[in-house]
Parts: sequence; structure tokens; C-alpha cells
Amino acid sequence: MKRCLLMLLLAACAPDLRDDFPFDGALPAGNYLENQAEADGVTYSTIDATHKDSFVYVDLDTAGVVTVADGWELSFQRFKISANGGSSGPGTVRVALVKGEDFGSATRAPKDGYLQDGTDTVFNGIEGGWYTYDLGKHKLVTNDDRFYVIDNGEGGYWKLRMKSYYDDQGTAARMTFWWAKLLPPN
Amino acid sequence: MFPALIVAVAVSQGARVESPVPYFEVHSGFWQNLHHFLYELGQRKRVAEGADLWVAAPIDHGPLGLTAAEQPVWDAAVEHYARTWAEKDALFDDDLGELKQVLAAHEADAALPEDLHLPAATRQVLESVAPLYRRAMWPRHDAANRRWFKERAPEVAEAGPVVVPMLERAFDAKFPKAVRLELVGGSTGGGAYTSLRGGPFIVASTLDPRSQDRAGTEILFHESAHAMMESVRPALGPTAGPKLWHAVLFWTVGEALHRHWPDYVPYAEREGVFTELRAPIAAAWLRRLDGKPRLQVAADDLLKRVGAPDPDVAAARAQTVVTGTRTERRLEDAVVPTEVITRAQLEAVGAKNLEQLLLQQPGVEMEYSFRGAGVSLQGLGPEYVLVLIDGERQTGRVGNLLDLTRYSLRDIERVEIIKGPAAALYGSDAIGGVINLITHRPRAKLELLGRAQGGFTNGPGQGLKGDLIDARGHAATKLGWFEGKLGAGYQTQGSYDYDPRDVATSGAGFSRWDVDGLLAAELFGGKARVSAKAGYLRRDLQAVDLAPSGAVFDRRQRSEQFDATVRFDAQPAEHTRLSLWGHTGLFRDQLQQDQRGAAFLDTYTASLDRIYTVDAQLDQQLAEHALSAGVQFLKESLFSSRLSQVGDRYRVGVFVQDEWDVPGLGAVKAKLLPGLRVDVDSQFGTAPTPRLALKLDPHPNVTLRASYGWGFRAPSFQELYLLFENTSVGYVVEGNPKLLAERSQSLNLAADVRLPLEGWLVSASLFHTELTDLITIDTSAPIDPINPTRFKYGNVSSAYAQGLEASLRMRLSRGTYVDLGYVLTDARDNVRQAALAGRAVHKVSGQLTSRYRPLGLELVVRATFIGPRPFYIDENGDGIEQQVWTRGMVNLDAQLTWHPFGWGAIFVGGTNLLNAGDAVYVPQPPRRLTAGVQLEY
Repeated sequence: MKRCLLMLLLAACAPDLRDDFPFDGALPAGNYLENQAEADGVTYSTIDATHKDSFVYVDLDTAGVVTVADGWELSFQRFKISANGGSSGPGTVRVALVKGEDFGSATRAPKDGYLQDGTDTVFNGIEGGWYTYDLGKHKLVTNDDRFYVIDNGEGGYWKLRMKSYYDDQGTAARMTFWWAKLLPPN
Repeated sequence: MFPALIVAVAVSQGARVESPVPYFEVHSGFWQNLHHFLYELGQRKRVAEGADLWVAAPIDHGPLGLTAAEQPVWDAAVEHYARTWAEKDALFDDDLGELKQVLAAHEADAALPEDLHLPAATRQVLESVAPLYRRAMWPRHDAANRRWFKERAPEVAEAGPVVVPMLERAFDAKFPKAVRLELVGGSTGGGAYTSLRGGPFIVASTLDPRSQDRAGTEILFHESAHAMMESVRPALGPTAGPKLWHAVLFWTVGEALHRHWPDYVPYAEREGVFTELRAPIAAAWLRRLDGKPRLQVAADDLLKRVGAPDPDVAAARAQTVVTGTRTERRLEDAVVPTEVITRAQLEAVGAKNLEQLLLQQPGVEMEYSFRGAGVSLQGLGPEYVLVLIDGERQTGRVGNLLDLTRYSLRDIERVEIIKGPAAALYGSDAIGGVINLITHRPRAKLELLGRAQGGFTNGPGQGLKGDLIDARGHAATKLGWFEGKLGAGYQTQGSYDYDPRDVATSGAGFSRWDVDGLLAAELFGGKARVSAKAGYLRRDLQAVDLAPSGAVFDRRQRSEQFDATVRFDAQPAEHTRLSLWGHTGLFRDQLQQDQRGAAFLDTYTASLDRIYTVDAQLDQQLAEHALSAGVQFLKESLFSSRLSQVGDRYRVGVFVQDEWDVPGLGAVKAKLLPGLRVDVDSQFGTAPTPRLALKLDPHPNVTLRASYGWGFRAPSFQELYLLFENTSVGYVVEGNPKLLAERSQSLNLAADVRLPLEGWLVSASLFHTELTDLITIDTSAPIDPINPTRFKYGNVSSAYAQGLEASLRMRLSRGTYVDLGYVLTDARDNVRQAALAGRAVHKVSGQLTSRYRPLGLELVVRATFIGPRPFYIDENGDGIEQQVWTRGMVNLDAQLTWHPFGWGAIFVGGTNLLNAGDAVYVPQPPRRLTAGVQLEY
């Protein structure tokens, strides 16, 4: 009690909340991409792009995270998605936006419509980008009338459809998307 | 009807006398008679010596026939009684009362025992003269006693069956059975007296000339009926004076016997007792002998006829306030209109915290958010209302809002509310008004209070959830120059939810406990007082929040508040008062948001507010001027992980004030109150706040008040140094260290009219406040997630708030009041060109308070209709906020309290019975039902 009174004079007496209610996890340490196999060769991924300054680079061939020096197709930072090419990187990756078609039934990559990133990235800049910002709710809403086809310039094609800017726990910049390998164009 | 009276054979010591009537257990005791005889002779001796005592006309006891040797012994005994007992009242003196009981217990014993309540000297005196008395006088007294009762018994037996039911109707009480009746030959001062401690005990003088014949019978009924006053006295209440109930007793018993024996002249009439009260009692009360009207109605009528003020009205008139001038004034005399909620009122409404209490107060609005409940006055939000405890500024505003649910009211004696500017005395924040909580100061040798209640929350569409506990108590003492007090309380309350479809709660559940203590001493014979008090409060809140992204957070908040004050008050001269005091307040807040199922968004923030003040105040009365001057040094600091730096600043405030009773206006009374305070702050510079207030009583029933004053609000540390980044949404909010204080000018006009009906009061007031240099964030720039917009606070806006407040207090009967109030508020932001958020235009309130003293019941029902309130929200996501209006809602509270005894109460009640409130705009606590007990010593 005496110690408590002394503490009162200096600051306060109650224990730190974190001692009574420990947080249920530590901050993520390296596991930036989680993949989950679904039917028809589709992978459902969650990417941790929460860092404000750093990009997370993804190699679609290996379905894993790589460094900037390695061969990567896409990079993620918060809501920004870049493709390795044009203004975003030294690679040859191009991206096509596909609207009005069913993501699930697409098996072959389109012949044309591919663009490299410019002042804005294909994902973020073309046709309003992959999301719309809802000012009323302060929430990023996925424009789900579209999916993207990625051509790595080396014969690899993938389709990718964004699910959400938020993961299932509501964390922003923990984006979720479906993607699958496509046959090359005829 | 009754068997013939059988008188027991007199034994030497006397004893039980056979009684044919069931009302009495009759005694003619040797020691009792000797004692009362000596008491009479002692009184007569003192009267002969010049003392002013009420003794019966001379009684002829006959000669004592003592020998020359015996006479000095007898004289010494009389002398002992003259010196020791004669001037003590047989009825009211505790020692005489105890002595009488000892003698009654040993009435048939030859000698008296040693007894704590029988002083040795008196015992020796009684035993020394016992042989003389037994020989010379006792046979005569014993025979007189028995003869007297033999005459009375048939009268009592005859009148009893008629008179007793009448008295039972009149007094709403049962006539006592088998009352101990001690018959004595000597005088008792009056003809008889009755003590009630340990059961009714009547001592009646059988030789007193006033007690003979049927008057003696009236005395027996009268004395017995003393035991029937338990309903009558509380019905008459504290303003009836000490005699009225006794007059009622006299005239009621006298009238009952007069009705039975039409030629009988009541004792009071014959002896000229309470004759001035005869007419009002006859008019208002005596129909009670037929059982009508109801006791309380008759009591009220009687009080009115004798001109006794209503206790509530009298208490209201005696009420003092301190907030308006920082010196104690009677409420009616206060130049600045003040509203008072007394301890009795806050117990009657059953409020568990300040938010609950003020929610239904006319002209007060509550604002609810996740930060708690804040209070608005005169259309101005929580940042413009200053909350004080015993005049000390409270620290721990979170986002400009001081959460009123933090204040439990446990130790609060009264709450004073001043609407309108008070910056001339209190400095920053006192623009919309001041709420001052006055704590309890011990008044008795021992004060003990305990209160415990439990309850249920019953939100919309949800069942009863038992989640309320409130226990509190204090012990206090005032022993001569020393005062001490220790109190503690514990409360727990569940969270609540207006929208059970999602996991989020609408209001946090919490548990809180607090302790406080006071030590004080009066010095220099009460001319000075030093005191020290300290209190600590800790509160843990738990809630569930849902972010737009779908993230769910378990929100836990832990707040601690510590306050300590040391104070010295002195009155070095009759008209001079000096006070010096220092206060420190600490408020530590920890907030943890724990994301469910993930750790990415987990956050922990902590803040520590500190305030240190040192004050000096001098009050000097000079003829018709009451001058006050004071100086305050203030240091405040805020450490918060959300601030870009530790907030720290100093301020010196100096004030002077003159309360001037303007002379020479004849019947018109006028008081003028000019005052000025100047604050110099280390951050925003100088802020002068003058005020001129006027009180005019052009007629004894009319009071007019006017005041004009400036005010200011110091920018908060959040506004100065906040650094809040929301990059995912696309903005950053930055404080602005160059902010100036917000300024205000206010005009208040008020009128009170006391209607010719007692306890009726009409009040009306107009208020207008202009706010300039308003601190706001200009959010007109579009937010942009790519390049986050930086929003900065600035002194950019202006606003006004104005309105009208009207109230009517109606006293329907004694203890029953109806209060009606209406408030019209027009508060607008001049830049936005729109009504201020959350302010209802119309508010109508009503309160019914009813007390029925004879049963100890008290009912309070409060209802407030709050009209639609505007809020601003971007509903369609286009970046432009639309005005939305909430629906009007009615808050309804009720509590019934039963005081079965003076020291206890049982209460049941409910708050927000209609479940006003919603999940988004007004997340106020939903319906709650509680019950509890209070014990008080």
C-alpha cells in the first residue's frame, strides 16, 4: 500500500493493461504470403502488404515471396500493386484487364490488351483501378467487375482476381485474391 | 360491564395496583413516590430562591410531623434534590429518566441497590429519609394514589370504548395496551409525564389539583396517546415547530372526551394551554376523530393555517450555493442564477453517476461517444463546460470530453449548475457553464452510510441481464475540532448493445472502485481550518468495436484518477476571509485495442494528464461591498503516445470581483456584480474575461437577473500536438502549436416569479453566446490514399448558440411537486452554415416528486422529450456530409424509495425505461432496473 501511495504521487498505481490482457499474437515475422489451394488449380492468397514503405515481391512461378533482385512478377505495398516492367521495374511483365468475363471459366490468356506500368500501375490506374474508395465508410471496396491477366514475357500467364483489401480479420493491406495459371493465347 | 374495582391491600412498600381497564399496568411505588415528593419540594425550594420552574399550584400534603432530630435529615434531602435534580426536566433529562426506571424496578424492595443510574449520593439521601417518609407521608400518598385511580378507573372504563377508537382514527395508530402507570403523590412539574424509551411509562401526580376528576381521566388518555404520535410528528414535518404536535394531542384528546361527555371542559381550555392553536386545530384537524380527511391532508391544512412553511420550501429557501461567486451565498440571494441538486434529490432519483443525474436535468444535454458521456449547456458542447469538484478543475478530458460516468456521486452533498459564462472566476472552459460537485463534510460525532444495489440491463429486444452492482459507504466523524472521513465504493456494469446483429457493443461495460479520505482540523477556536483530502479512482472498461473493414477489436481501457488537495481557510477578522489551497490531479489512461484473430492492428496507447494549481483568495466585506480577489497558478501537462511532443504549459490567473448591494432604491433590491479575470498562458498568451452581472428584485416575488461576460477555451494538447496518421484511408491529422484560445461573449437574461401559491415558481431565461476563433479541422480538401492529405487544426471558424429556457415548478400538496421545463436551442456553425451537431432544437422535461411521510414513501418520475438532433455523415460516399436527423426520443426514469425507519431505505427504480437511444448517434445506456438498500446512522 505504501508503495502504491508513493507511485500515486509519481504516476499511477494500476498495472499495465498489457500485463492483464496480453495481445494474442506478435507482429508478423516473414510469412508475407499465405497460399491456399482451391478447386480447378486456383490458389487463394493473402498477402501482407501492411508496411507503409516496403514492397512485397511475389514470384508467381514459385508462388512465393522473393527479393527485389530476383525475378518477380508482382509487388504489393498497401493498396498499390505493381508489375515488374515499365516504370515499376526492369522486367518484361505486362498486365491485361479483363472485364465482362467469368473468372472461373477463363482457361486461356487473351491475345492482346497487355500494358506495362506507366505513371500509374495497371492495377491501380486503368479504368479506375482495382478498388473504389468509399468516402462515407472510409473503406476500400474492390471493383469486382474485372480480373487481370499477367504475362511475364517469358511464356507464363496467370489470371488474378482481387477479393478484398482486407483479410478475414479486417486488417487493411492484408489483401486477398484468387489466381491460377492460364494457357498461352492461341 | 367491568367488575367492581378491587384495591389490593397496601403493603408497606406499595406496588401493583389492580386495574380493571386493559390500558394500564398501575403501580403505587414507595421509592417512586419518595423521589417525586423530594423532586417537588426541591423545585419549590428553587422557585422560592428565584428559579424559573414550572411547578403545580401548592399541594396540600398535610404535615410531615418530624422530630427536631429528624428535621435536619429531611432538610438535607430536600437540599440535595434542589441542587441536583430540581432544575432537570423530568421528561427530557436522561439521568432523571434512568433514575425513575431504577426506582420502578425496585419499588417493592426495602433497600435500594447500587446502580450505575442511581448516583450514590441520591441513593444515600433516599435511604436516609426513607424511614421518615414511610412513617410521615407514604401512607397518605399511597392512599391518595389508590383513591385517585379508583375514581378514574370507572371513567376510563366508560369512556374508553368510545374515545379510544376516536383517537386511533385521529392519529392513525393503535392505542397502547398495558402501559406502565406510576402514581405519585408529589408533583411532577406538570400533572403527568410520559417517557417512551423502553416502552411507554407514565408518571401521574394524584394530588396535583389540576389532575382531579375527569381532568385526571383526560390526563390518562392524553399520556397514553403520547405513544401514538409516530405518524403525526413526521406528517407535520420539521417546520411545524416543537410544540404543534403536542397541541394537536391536547386538543384531540380533549375534544374526544368532550364529545363523550358534552359538559366536559377540555384540560387545555380550562388550564389555558395552547389556546392560540385551538382554532386552527379545530378547523383543520379535529375531523380526524371521524377518520377524515387523510392524515397528511389534515397535517398540510393545519400547517398552512398556523403559517408553518412547507419543509421543502423552507429547505429550498435555506439552500446555499458557492459556485457563482466563490463565496457562500443563499441561493435566493445569488446574483448568478444557480441550479442545485441536493443529496436528498439525488438519492430520490437514484442516480448512480453524474451522467444519469444530469441526463434529465432541464437545459442540460448529454453527448455520447466511445469516449464516454459529456455534458452540453446552453447549446455548447462538453469542451465549453467546466466540471469542478469543490471548485477544483478536473483533469482527464479525452478528445475534449470529460466522461461524466466517471463520477459516482457517492460522496457528493450537492451539485451546483451555472449556465452561462463564469470565466470571470474560473478561467478557461467556463463558457457554456460550470458544474460544481460539492462533497460531503462530516457534521456528527459518528456518521455511517452504506448503500448497495443490484440490477438488470434490459436493452431493446434483449432479455434481462443481471449485470449491475453498486456498493458504497463512508464513515465520518466530527469530534470537536477534528474532522475525518473515509469512503469507498465499487461498481460494475455490463456493456450494452443497440444493434445485436453485429458483434460490436454500443456502450462499454466497466468496473470501478474508488477510495477517498479527508482529515481536517479547526484552529484558533474555529477561526481557521486546515484540511487535506485525497481520492483515487480506477476504472476498467471493456467493449467490442467493429471497424468498417470488418476488423473486430476487443477494446480495453483502464483509467485512473488521483486528486489531492490541501487547504487552509481563516477568518482573521469578522469581515475578512482568507483561503489558500493547492490541488493536484492526475489522470492516467491506457487504451488497448486487440484485434480478434490477428495481431496486425493491435494497438496500445497510454496518456497521463497532470494538473497542479495553487490558489489564494481574499474576501472582504466593506459596508455594502463584498470584495473578492484571488490568484491562481496552474500547470498542466499531457503525455500521450499520440502527441508529437509532451504537452506542457503554465498559466497565471488573477481575478477581482465586487458584489455590491446597491443602496437607496427603497423597496427594490439590487445587486451589481462586476468582475474581471486575466489569464496569462505560456502557450497562447493573455485572455481577459470580464463579467458584469445584475440581480434586481423589483417586487418580493420577482427576481430579475442579467449577465454579460467573456470567456475563453484554451486549446487542448491534442489540438496543439496531435499526430494521427491514417495512411490507409489517406489522411494525417496534425496539431497546430500556434493555436490561440477560442473566445466567447455571452448574454444571459433570467426572471424568477414566485407565484402567490406556496412553492410555485415560474422561471424563464434567454441566452446568447458568440464563439469566435473556433478551433476546427478544415476537412474540405479531398482525402487521398496515394498522397495523404495533411489536416491541421486552425482558429478558423465561428459559431453561435442561443435559446430560451422556461420552467414551472408546481407544488400540488406537501411533498408533491411537478416540474415542467422547456428549452429551445439554436446553435449554428457560421462557416459551415449549419446547425451544430447533436443539439436538439426542442427539449421538454417533466418531473413528478411525491413524498408521503407517514408511510415514508417517496416517488420520483422523470421524463424528458429530446427533439430530433442533427448529425452529419457522408451517407453516399461522395465526400460531402449530409445532415441527418435522429428521431425524437423520450427518456423516462422512475424510482420508489421506502424509508421504513429513520436510518434505512429500500428502493426500486429504473432508468431509460423506454429504451431511448440508438447504436449510431445516441448510444446512451438502455433500460436498467435496479433495487437496493441504504443504511445510514
